[in-house]
Amino acid sequence: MIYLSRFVWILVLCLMAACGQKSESPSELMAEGRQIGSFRGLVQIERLINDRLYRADRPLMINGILGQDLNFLLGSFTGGTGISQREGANPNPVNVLLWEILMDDTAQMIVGGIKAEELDESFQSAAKELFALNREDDASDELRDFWHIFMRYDAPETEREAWVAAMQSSGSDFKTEENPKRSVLQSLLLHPYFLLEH
Amino acid sequence: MSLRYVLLLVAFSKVVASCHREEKSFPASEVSWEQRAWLDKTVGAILYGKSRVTPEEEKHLLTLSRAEAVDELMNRPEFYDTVLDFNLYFQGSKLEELHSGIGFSPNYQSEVLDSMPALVSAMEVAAGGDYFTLFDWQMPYFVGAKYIEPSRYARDPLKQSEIGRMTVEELQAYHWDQANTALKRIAAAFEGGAALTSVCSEFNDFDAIPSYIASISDLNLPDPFGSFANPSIEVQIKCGALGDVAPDSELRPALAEELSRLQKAHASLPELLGRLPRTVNQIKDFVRISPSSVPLVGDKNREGFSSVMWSQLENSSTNFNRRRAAYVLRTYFCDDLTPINIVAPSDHASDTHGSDAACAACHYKLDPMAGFFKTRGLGGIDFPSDKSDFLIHDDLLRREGKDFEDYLRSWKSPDAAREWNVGYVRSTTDASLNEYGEDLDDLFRIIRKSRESKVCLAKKMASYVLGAEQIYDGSWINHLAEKFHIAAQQGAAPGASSQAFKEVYKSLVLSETFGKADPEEGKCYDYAPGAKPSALPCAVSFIIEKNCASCHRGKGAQKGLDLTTWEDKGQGDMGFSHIEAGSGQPVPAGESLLRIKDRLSSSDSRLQMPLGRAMDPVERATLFKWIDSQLRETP
Repeated sequence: MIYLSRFVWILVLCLMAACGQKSESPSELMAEGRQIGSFRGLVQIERLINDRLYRADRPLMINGILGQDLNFLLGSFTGGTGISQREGANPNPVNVLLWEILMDDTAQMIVGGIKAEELDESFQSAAKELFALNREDDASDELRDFWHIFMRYDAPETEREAWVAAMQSSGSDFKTEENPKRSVLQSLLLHPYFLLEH
Repeated sequence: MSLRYVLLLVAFSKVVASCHREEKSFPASEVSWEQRAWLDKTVGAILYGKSRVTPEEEKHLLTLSRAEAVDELMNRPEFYDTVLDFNLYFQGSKLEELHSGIGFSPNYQSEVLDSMPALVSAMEVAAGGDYFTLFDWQMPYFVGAKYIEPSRYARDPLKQSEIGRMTVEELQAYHWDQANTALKRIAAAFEGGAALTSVCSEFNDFDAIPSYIASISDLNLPDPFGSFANPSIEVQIKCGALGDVAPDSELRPALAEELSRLQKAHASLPELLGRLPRTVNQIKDFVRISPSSVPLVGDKNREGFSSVMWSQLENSSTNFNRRRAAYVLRTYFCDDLTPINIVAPSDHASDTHGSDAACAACHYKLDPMAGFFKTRGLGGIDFPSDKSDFLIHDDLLRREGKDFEDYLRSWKSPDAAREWNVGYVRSTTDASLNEYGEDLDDLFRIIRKSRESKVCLAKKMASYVLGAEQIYDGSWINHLAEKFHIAAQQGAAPGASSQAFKEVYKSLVLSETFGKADPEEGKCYDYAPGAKPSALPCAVSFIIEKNCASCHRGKGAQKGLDLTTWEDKGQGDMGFSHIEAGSGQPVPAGESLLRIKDRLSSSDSRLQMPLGRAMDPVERATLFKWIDSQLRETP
């Protein structure tokens, strides 16, 4: 199921990124008639994760997961002082795949952080409450809590409700997996409203 | 315990949990989701690196009006990191991260100190001083923490385990001793009568203490040991690194001076290092030092360009500093030199392709701008013509004598009123619109004074806060830039420019565009006070209104072309209202756009529009590019 969900996310993100279409700038990228943005970039995503989920003295470092040589494909300012410019932020099939790999590992690291109690108190508490529930329980409020700490107001309220409904549906990883922490985290880490500028 | 009590306990704990949850997150309150989303976005835009404030702060900020919340956030120290980050963005030196680590290592990246105007002007905003130091050439010196990245010691003779046990002070003392020994060896060789070429080699060996050199360069000191090489480039040249070894009569005093300078610099370092903090996590903690406290190569002041800028934008023997000129035009005037073939230069530097008609459109601005750098050669080193009879380019070509004179003559002015054809050129037909000068001090004086640099500053601020892809109405940008222009006037109050920066930043965060959750990039949301949305696409409406509409408006429009209309011509084609003067027939949309494009790009002053009037080159290029894009969409 994990592998299937990973495939589905790649597919969704590729569709969001107008996978395979040639486009001159992120502003011209369209998905289902809607304009989409570019990736926030590795540093910004790392900063968001640390600011929202981790304790200041125990930061999570994700910039070494893929190796420094690939980070420039994920949206970063390159060129150093003098003439730096943003590169790699325009979604394309390659960087969408790299983000998927990166966020998969990141989800695993956060799961480890929950176990080791390295996380920000409010996130730790929300995670404990959510994952202590039984499958048959109504987890709507706990899911909203979890979403809020992770996503804040990056996405509209309707997106949160759609995510909660998806997690609550009987076939979701959250309801079917023995240990759903990783797939729940993946669903947020790979959420377009989290990964993309808007 | 009976089952009833257990169930009661579970029910009670659920009630407590739900109350607790309501308090700690997404409380159902009178504050809308939109308002909360705006606050989060504002926190991100003002407090560098933060995506939220504490729940208590959030609760308080939500009780304030948006303007009050912005004021309060802009008074926090993190805002000055945002100013620094923007300044680096403005200069084209944006870093992914200002700090060298998250949480555990609060020091700034050493690159921050390489772009001194960005840092100094952010510090000025924090102190309520002069923000326009961003446009200064001569800069004060600031240094950071004495922290050194352990990776700098990769080639060190010390074992990594030993390094791990040493404090920064112990490491620096260790390397100071190593350097001291090397300097004594050089002095002994020089004073002992060794061949001068072997003394040159000894100087090169001094560079074989990389950790020591690194410990200095991390502080970004003002070139106490020559930031590019050891010994200094000038001494290397005399030692024969780029040609013949200089005769002993020149080499000996040069080596003596170099040795003396290094000894003085070396002796001054312990006192300087002792004054530095271990961490610098706010810009106010950077330490200002007097240039005279550290003997410098040539006692130069710190200059406005980063060392990386000098090394990346080379003055080759064929580009005659044009890469540096293009950087200045792009960075400080937002002029990306769109080649639209608008004018032919009356005169031109020799031996260059600029005289080619297709290239002239850029070169009329580029060449005079490059002239500000005319004495700057390899790595930005100044070879002033009154002191030096040669110049070495970045491709190591050495010009001397007549060759050097011919090179400089490329910028000699044919006009008796001034010696050099060096300046910021707005018009090729009316020299009174241009700003002329000779050297980089003059260039930065022009930048500080010009209206274009203020408009460029406002544009880049909008781009930084609202997104690089967003389109803005020109009248709004000019309205914002006017605050900078007023602050730059003579007699403006001290700190007026810092206040202007804050006001413009606040306007951007309070703008309609910023408040939109998902703004359309091709749409304008904000206009100057009194300005109304036009029927024209907002990307060009302001430019047309400013430059064209006085003649091309309404029924009496010149040549039947009404540039204040933008209408559907049928079959989805959009165009201006355009009636053929003789026949009274409508001009097809494509033909109409083509004629406008030709008139914009013509170099014939009888045809070029606007007729007999100067038009900002950046605005001309913007309108030209837009017309061209519309033409591609029109059959």
